[in-house]
Amino acid sequence: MKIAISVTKAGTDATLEMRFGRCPYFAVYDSDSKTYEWFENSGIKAASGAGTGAAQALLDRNIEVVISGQYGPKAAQVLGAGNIKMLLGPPELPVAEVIAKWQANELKEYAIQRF
Amino acid sequence: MIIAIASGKGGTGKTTIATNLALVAPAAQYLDCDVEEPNGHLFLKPEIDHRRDVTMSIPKIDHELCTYCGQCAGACEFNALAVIGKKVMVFPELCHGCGACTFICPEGAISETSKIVGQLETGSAATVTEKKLKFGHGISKIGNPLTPPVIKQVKKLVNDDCFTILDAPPGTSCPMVQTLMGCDYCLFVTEPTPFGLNDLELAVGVARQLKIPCGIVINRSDSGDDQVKKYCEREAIPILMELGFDRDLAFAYSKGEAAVSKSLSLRQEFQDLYEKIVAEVEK
Repeated sequence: MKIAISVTKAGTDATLEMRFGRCPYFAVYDSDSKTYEWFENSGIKAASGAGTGAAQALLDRNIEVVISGQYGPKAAQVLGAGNIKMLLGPPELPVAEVIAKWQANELKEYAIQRF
Repeated sequence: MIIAIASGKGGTGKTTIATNLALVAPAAQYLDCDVEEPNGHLFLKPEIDHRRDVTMSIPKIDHELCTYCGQCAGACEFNALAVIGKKVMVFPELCHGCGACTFICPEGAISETSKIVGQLETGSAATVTEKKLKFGHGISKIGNPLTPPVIKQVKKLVNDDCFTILDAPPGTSCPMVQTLMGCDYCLFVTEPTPFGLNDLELAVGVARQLKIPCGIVINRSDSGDDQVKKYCEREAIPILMELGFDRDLAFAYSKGEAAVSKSLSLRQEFQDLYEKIVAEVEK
């Protein structure tokens, strides 16, 4: 299973970035091979729709779970429609500790806000 | 002749200058392009004789034809489309109506449908000499985040035979650029403060990029410092008017009245401004 985490930079010393759509990088953890990959979030430079763009990028990479600090309403709609599970993680936590918390089932699920 | 009244910084007095200028200029037309909060009508009190909706094109997906290839989402510069499995999501509030998705769809599964983004109102007001002043403004629909399509429609009202005044929105982003494009001259209203100067420099940068000659009005000229004047000297930008604090002007403004219809000295000052603008454009 592939888990994406919004992070501050590429590399194992990256920490969780609060924003989903405008995070600089995504860390992708493969729970089968126990390895990490990183990809740049093109949404950070987008004039608009950073959240929907980032969500589409995760869908295209067959991500099943995403961990971030907060989700915008449009990003959450796309992630929800793609059945990607949205979890909330504490900001500034190193990426390996975020994964440890996920494995221990300590992360809360994000509830889609209805306005 | 098309003149934009812009500022960079908000609240410097664009509408005060634009409306008073419109009331003294012969054969003038006033168009309020500040469609998020048009307020020129408060001072000009026009009679509105025509109203219509402003619409924009947004994509509509034909699910019978769609193969969910995702090319539309890939082509969208604004991430207004997402393709998830056998589902296409359209976010109308992100769409800029460029039509790239419709163009790129290999199945012809995208057509365009319209969405109302605002209203256009036209009419006329009376100048200080009881002549007819053509009036028009756009009103962006509340919740519509994208104003350039509304501004474009306001600009279609430009009458070439008139001295057309475009009251621009503040700032230096798309709505301001949309207003300035194609103008013969831009008059920047600023105030002699560090904030006024900072935003003025940005705004002058836009005018230069668009190759539009510009001049400056310094409002509240008896406050602040001399940095704006020094900047204008350095950059060889003419200062066409300096307007100090004036009780008559403030009083008229507070009542929603135009200063030129209340004070003869102010009327003269605005007539001088009109002549200076015309001279600058004809240079």
